[in-house]
Amino acid sequence: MTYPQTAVSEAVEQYCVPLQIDNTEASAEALLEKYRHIWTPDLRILESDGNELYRWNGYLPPFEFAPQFLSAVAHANFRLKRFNEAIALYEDVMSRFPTALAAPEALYFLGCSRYRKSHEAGDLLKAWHELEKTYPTSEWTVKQNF
Amino acid sequence: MITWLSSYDDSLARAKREQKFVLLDFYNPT
Repeated sequence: MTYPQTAVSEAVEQYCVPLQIDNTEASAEALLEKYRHIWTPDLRILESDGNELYRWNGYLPPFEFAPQFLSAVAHANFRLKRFNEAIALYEDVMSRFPTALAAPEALYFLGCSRYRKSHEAGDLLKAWHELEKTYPTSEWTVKQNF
Repeated sequence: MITWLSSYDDSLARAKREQKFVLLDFYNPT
């Protein structure tokens, strides 16, 4: 089980209010419908008004969950134009979890976040060149290749 | 260990007070 791991639980508590919804409870039906829940595991990052900012499905062991979670929080910040917070989190993922499944996506959006903050094309291209070099078979390398 | 909330409304309210996001985990106990 992923959650009891200290590194995971500390990260979750630092950035989020953790909410678990049992999808077999009748009282949960309205929420299941609101968020179009269909399969578990199903995790969302929400703003405090309930607006969804990131989602992912499927089980992840702790060493993959932590970077995925941190990337999700980074992306939430990115979408809210909190570029400094997004950059810091993406850099943390790349520094501590460079071989994680979430790493290529984190590097892709690290470039995007830096560019959105600086408006310097070089900031985007530098990250994307590193993406292509480090993760050549990743879907995120395909996505930056235009 | 994470202390999970089970109330959606309480979670949103706490997230607003503490300026955090909500991590919503839909799960099946069976």
